[in-house]
Amino acid sequence: MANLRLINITKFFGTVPAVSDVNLEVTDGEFIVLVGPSGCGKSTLLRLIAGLETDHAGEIIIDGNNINHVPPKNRDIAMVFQNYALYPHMTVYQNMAFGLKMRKISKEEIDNRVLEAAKILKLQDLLNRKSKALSGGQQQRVALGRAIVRKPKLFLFDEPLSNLDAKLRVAMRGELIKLHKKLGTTMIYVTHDQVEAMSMGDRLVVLHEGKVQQIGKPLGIYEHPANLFVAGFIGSPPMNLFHCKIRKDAQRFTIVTDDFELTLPDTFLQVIKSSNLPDNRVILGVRPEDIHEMRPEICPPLKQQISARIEYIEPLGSEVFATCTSGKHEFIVRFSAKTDIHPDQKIKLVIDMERSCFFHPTKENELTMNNNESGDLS
Amino acid sequence: MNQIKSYHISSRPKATIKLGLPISALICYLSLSLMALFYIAPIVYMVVSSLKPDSRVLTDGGSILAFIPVEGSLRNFQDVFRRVSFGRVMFNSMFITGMIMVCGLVVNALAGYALARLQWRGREVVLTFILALMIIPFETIAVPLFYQVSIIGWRDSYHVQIIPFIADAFSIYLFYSFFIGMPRELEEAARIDGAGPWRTLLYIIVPLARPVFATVAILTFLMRWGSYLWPLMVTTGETYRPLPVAMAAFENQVKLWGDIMAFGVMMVAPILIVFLLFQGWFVKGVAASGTGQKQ
Repeated sequence: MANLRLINITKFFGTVPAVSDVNLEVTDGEFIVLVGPSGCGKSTLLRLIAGLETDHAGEIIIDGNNINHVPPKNRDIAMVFQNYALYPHMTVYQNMAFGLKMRKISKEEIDNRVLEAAKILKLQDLLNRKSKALSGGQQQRVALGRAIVRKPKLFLFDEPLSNLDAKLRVAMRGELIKLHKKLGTTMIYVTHDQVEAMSMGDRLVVLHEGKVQQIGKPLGIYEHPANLFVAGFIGSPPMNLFHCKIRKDAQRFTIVTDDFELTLPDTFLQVIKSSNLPDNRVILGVRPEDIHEMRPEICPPLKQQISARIEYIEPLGSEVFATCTSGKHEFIVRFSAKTDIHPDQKIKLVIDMERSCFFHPTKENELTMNNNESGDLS
Repeated sequence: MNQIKSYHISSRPKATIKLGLPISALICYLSLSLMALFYIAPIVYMVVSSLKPDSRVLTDGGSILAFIPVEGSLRNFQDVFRRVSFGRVMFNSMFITGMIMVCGLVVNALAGYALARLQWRGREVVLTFILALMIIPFETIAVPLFYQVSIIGWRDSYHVQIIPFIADAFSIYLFYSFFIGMPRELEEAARIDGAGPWRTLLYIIVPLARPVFATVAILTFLMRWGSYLWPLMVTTGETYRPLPVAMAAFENQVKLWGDIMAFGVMMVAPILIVFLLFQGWFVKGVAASGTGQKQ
């Protein structure tokens, strides 16, 4: 088990910055997920930690020791690759034992460790099979086994589930969570799949264009994305964004769009007042589940109702996503599966303003009094 | 109605003959058989003639009898051993070809690996240079090379026939094209597993590259086994002379076609054995080098 610190890590490929000034502290036994779209630098960051990429600025520290110049084999880490990188000419046993053999561990110890890992991963019956004769799921487990037998300080996973079909991916996700609980080892996991990230990580590191956008607990990031990029990337469907203006009435602040008006809740008053908003413009962010169909018992003033038209629906069994339009605004609303809705239906909606977020229209960051609530902003 | 029409058209059986083969397939097989016959006939002719008395080789030459071993015996083979020190020239060929093959596999594989995998200044230039070397025929550099080896006193030796042919542009290219398509993650996994560059090469790269090693080995063997011009230029006596040069000398000396054919059969036999032994890997290697599919 290990503590990992990344201090001002920067890596260029030619003149293109792949990773820019990344700072991260991972505590012992934590499951950290690096998440972001393709090309955001998450795999490069993982490879820097592994020692597979070099020539970077900044410091990589494991348990207080700077490992910048330590070769990969001496970093006491294990890595699971996206395509598993199993040695196709070797059997499952040989694949799992290879790292131990290279470290000159005794035959008896190798046997014990491989059998123990095979038991955990249910690979006992496959030990004598060639790795190329295995299914994707089995190969994935062998790759995990190869990492486990080494008993490393740190596990690195580079999108290990992305080659599996949807069903197997969900199953393996659960297996990995269980494995982390059982081993208690520090794990760093790279994925572009935000569902995977949300469900697996103790903390997420959201990356974009080589820069850390936000670090925090999954739910914290979901509820309070640090900026418009995170708001759009985390959550499926993404957060709805409305470009609005703030109008000060006699006693209250009102959020005004061309198509509807909403009263600003008292909780946001201080934030809005203290933010230097150009032309009083602001971006309102609302998650699809925070927009509700208006019911008679919660009937807000007429202007705060959103008259919308359902363009199309996506029934998912447990819920229905409806893409709605109101004037020039298009947004997605999450309904329960039992809700009777259909395309072209006209509907009255209300927004749960207490759960909304506000973003600066030019800086694009979330307007909040205490950013630590949603995690440490970079 | 249209649907019914198209159904009838698409379901019409193709024209076949009694064997149950479509005519197009039959034409294809027939052409291939003719081509095979064209290539096999000289070899059969050589083997059959090597068993015949010398007088029959020329008289049977114009008829089908050329392919039938009438009055067959091994006398021609005995003649060859009696007239020349065949064992010596066979050893020379084996030693020279074997050394080029073994040293070539090591040198060319390492060169291909360095070009495909290691990052170093001028890599692209060297690669382009090596690719360009592939199109230069040996005959064009034979004379300058001869001049060079004469200056350093290498003529009439084994190494003059071995060293200039160890590094080979085509072999390097074959290794390069194999290694460049090999998943980089395999080497990275080995690095993380604790293997250094040499152990990665030995335990991971070489076992996976067996087909391309076999291909290069066979191609080198074939090329060098039949090498004639260079050995003719640099050898003067039987001591270092390989089979092709010895055969030419033998032909000038005896003028007996039965004996010459027997010499030819004994010269071809090792190539056939090598090819048959490594045939599977050879096909795999050629396919892998061509398609980029390595595993």
